[in-house]
Amino acid sequence: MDEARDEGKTDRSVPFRKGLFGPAGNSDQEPRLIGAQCLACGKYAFPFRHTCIFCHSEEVEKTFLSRTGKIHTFTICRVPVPHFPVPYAIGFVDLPEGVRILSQLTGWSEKDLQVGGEVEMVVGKIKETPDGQEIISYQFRPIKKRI
Amino acid sequence: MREVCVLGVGMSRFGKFPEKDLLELAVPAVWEAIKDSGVPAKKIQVAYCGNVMGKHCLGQRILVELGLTGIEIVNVENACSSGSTAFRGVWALIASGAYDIGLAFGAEQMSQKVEGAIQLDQEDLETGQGLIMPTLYAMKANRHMQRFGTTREQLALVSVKNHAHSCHNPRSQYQKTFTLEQVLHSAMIADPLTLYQCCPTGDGASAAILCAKDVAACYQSKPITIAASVLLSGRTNMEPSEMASSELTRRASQAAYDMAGIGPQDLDLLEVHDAFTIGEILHYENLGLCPPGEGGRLVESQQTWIGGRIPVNPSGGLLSKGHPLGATGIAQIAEIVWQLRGEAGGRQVENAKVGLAHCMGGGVGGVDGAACAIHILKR
Repeated sequence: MDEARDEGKTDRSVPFRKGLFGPAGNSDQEPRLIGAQCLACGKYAFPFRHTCIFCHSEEVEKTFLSRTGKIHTFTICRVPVPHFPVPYAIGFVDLPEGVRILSQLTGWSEKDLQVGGEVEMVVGKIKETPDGQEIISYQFRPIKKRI
Repeated sequence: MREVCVLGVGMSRFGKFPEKDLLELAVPAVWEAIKDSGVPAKKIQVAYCGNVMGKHCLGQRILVELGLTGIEIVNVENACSSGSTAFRGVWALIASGAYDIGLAFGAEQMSQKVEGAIQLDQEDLETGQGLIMPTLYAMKANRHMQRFGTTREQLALVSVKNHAHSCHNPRSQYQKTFTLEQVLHSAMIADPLTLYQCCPTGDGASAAILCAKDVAACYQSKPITIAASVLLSGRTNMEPSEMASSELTRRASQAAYDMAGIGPQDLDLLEVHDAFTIGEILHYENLGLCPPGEGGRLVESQQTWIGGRIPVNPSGGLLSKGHPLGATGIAQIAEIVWQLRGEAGGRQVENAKVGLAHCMGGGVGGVDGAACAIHILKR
């Protein structure tokens, strides 16, 4: 498996951190977040850690988390923040596994973003370093309802 | 655990003083607290220094200037709650019997370093992906507005109130009123929080002398008693809780009320963490001043103004008095002490007997608030 390619790494872009997401099955499948499921207490967490952060059991497995979730809350940042585009949208997304992810939101317009709105995971550029390297990571975008 | 008192407090004027370094900010505030206490400096047995952005061993460097060396000195950092953590550290050592007299102080020099929003760790999973403090609180505001119908005007009223209070505080960074329109129409930082709904950055220092109650009588006839000291951290975002609430503040304040043997109805005033207007509204609810969801209506009712049923942030709060990170926690406590002594001048809360200081530090790496410190003082 070409890990670097699966994480979207190119000559000019690197993932924010290794091991946060990857293709769920065949490498042409949509990437999903790599979380932890504890076999002792059953709880899920993100990112993956070898020890369960709830019950401290070491019986923890890597697992792919759901691609879709709901916005618990969000905001649009209007001031310049070094490395980030202005404006940018950011939110807490709740996944069905009971996991809450802080993530940039992408593909939005102001009317698309709502508390409780449904979103789906994508991978994209979240910031740029001063020397022009792109940092990529998970993002969530509003799911457009088909009429 | 034995009872501990505050004998003296000191605080510099908060503001932007890029020409002043940490030592110039801190030394006068520490001397003020020592003189206010009546305790000779040589009697101080332990000192804790709260600071976030400054130098290593800041406590020692400041205390060398005072000629206070050789004692136990600890430097602590807990984001916005650094000063409160320093105060708690000294409280705990005296309460447990290790020492009789201690000094807690905090200082910050930000204007030389920071312009605009404070930049946070670019490797942290949340702050490295764009979370800055205004966005964290803006998200709490959006959630609160959606769930409880809190309005933009209610949020802005917190700023109007605290700026008005600070007109009577000569140590406050800002000492002028702002109208509701001025607050609402200031530059948008992160929807819905505008510039005047976010506390300023600045420079300053504060200090307190703590003493075991059974020794205090040597120095003062009217010490202020510390009825509760609590410091707790937030739970992981992996246990998702309602963000229009603060599980951490609720848990910490309940522990503080239990320790002091009182309830929120017994408080005469509070200093709470209003780094952003929504913070104060949330904490009305989390501290038990009103039911969940009613915080916006509480500030609108004017009950939390000086002269109201339960004054909050008579000093001007972080919004107006300022928020030099390491200095804030003990400045809140200093305000409570002045109020309980009847020394608060034009911002005096009538017949103040019991006050609560609430400080909430940071939000990093997936927790709801890194450090919440609650102190209850009474005369």
